[in-house]
Amino acid sequence: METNSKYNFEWKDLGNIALGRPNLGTSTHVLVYRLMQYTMRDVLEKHLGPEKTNEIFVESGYKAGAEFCKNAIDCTLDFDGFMAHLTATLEKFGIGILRVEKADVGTMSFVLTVSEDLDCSGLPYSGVAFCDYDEGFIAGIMHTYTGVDFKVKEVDCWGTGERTCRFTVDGQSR
Amino acid sequence: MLSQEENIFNDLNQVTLTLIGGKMDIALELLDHIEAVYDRQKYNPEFVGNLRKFISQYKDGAVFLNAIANGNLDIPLPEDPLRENYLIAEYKQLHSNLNHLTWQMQQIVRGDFQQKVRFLGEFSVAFNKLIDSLREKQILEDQVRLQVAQLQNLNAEKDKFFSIIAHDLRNPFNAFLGFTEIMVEEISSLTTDEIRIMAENMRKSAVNLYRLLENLLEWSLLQRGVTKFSPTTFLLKPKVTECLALILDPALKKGIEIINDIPDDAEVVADVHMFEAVIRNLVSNAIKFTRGGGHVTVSARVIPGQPVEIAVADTGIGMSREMIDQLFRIDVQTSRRGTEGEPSTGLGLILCRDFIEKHGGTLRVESEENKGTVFYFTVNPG
Repeated sequence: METNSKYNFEWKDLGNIALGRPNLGTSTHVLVYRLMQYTMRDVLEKHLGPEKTNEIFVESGYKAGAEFCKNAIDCTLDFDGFMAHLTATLEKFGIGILRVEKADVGTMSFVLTVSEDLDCSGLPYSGVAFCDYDEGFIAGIMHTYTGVDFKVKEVDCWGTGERTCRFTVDGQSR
Repeated sequence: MLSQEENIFNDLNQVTLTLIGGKMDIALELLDHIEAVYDRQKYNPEFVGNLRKFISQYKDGAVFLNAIANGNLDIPLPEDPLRENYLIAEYKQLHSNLNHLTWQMQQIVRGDFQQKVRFLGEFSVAFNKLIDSLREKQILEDQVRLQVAQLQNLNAEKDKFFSIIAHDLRNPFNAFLGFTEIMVEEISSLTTDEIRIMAENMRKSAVNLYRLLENLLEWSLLQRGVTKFSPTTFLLKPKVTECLALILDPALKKGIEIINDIPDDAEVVADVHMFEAVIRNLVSNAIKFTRGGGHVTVSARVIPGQPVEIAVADTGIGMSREMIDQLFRIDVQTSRRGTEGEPSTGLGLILCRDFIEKHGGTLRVESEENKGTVFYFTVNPG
C-alpha cells in the first residue's frame, strides 16, 4: 500500500556519528540494538500481526542491505573479492561472521551462514526463526552487487535451536 | 495376569531399551503397538507422542551425523526451519564449518591465499601456516617469472646487437671496402666520372654506417641507463624543419615530397636530442618505404590539457597485420629493405619507442598494405 511517506531513507541520514558522539564513540552495545529491535517487533506484531511484521522486517532489512552495500562495500570487485570484503566489513561492524558454504556464481545459488549474529545469537529457544531482517539484508546486498533479485530463506536459526544461522540465497531470473 | 498399566509400562521400558540398542525403527513400531492396543486413557498419548518425536529427532540426528562421519557434506539442508531438533544443532554447526572449509579449499586451489581457517584448533594453525607458505611460494614464483622475462629480453637485446654487428654493419662495410680496393688498385685507369660515382657510393655507405652506428650507440647508452634526459620547452615546427633538412637528400633523390604540417604555435616539452632521433628515424623509415612520387607528412594534434600527438604519415607500401604485431619486438627479426633496396634493421623503431616511453608518451602505428603507414607518438605540451 502506497502512503504519503515524508521519509525516504538515504545513507547520509545516518549523520556524522563521530561528530555527534565525540566522547561515547561510534559503537554501542548489542543489548541496546536488540532492545530496540525486539520491542519494535513486539509493538508491530500487536498492531499488525506476525506475518505483516515479518514482511516489514524483510523489507527494511532489504533497504538497509542495499544502502550498506552501496556505501560500505566495494561493488567493483569480482565475486571472490566482493565476498572477502563483505565478510571483513560485517566483522568490522560486529554484524556477524559470514561464511560461504556453497557458491555457484553461474546459477546464482549460494548457501551462507552467519555466526555470532547480531540479531539472534544467544536468544532463548522460542521455536521461531527471528532473522527476517537478515534475510532482507542479504537480499539487498546481493541485488545491489549483481543487479539480480534474490530469494533468501533462513533454514537454521539460533531461535529454533541451531548454533549458526544458515541462509539459502537463490537468484531469480532477470 | 498383569494389569494394562503394567503391560504399558513394560512396553515403554522395551521402547527405551530398544532405543538404547540403536534400533529406532523397532522402537517406533513398539510405539505404534502401544497406540493401537491400549486404552488412550491408560498410556498418556501426549507422553507417547513426545517419545515418538524424540525418537524421530534422534533418528534424523543419526542419519545426519552418519552422513557427516562418512564425509557426505552434500546431505540436504533441513527444509523446515522449525524442526526444533536440539539433538543435531551442534552437528549442523559442524556441517556448516566443514562446508565452509571445503569452500575455502576451493578458493585456495584457485589461488586465493588470503583465506584463513578459524576452527579446529591446531588444524587451523597448521593449515594457515600452509597457506602462508603457499602465498610466499607464489610471490617467489612471480619474481622468478619476472626475472626470467627480463633475462629473455636482455638475451634478445644481446642477440639483436650481435645480429646488427654481424650483418647490417658488415654489408655496408663490405661495399665500402670493395670501392676503396678498386680505387687503390685501378685509380689510374678510372675516368673522373667513374671516380665520382664511386665516391658517391662510398659516401652513401658511410652515411648508412654512420646512422646505424649512431642508433647503436644511443640504444646502447639507453640500455645501460646512462642516457642523459634533459627535457626543455621548444616550438615544434622549427625543430621538425631542422630535423627534416638533415634527411632531405634521400627524399629528393626518390622524388618524395616532405610536408611539415605542424601548427606554428605548437610547443612541447622534450629532450631535444631524443626528440630529434625520433623524428629522424620515423621520417627516414617513411622515405625508405615510400615509392617515388609519394609524400611524407609530419603533423601534430594539439588539444589543451592533453599530450601533443605527432603523426608521421606516408603514402608508401604499408605493412601487414602480422608485421605490425611484431614491429616493436626485439626478439623477432623485423627488418626489410626499402622500395629501392635501402637497408633497415628495425632498431630505429625500438629506439623511438624507448625514447618516447622515457618521456611518458606512447608510440602506435596504423598501416594498410599499399596505402601507407602512420606512426603516432605523444609528448607533453609546452
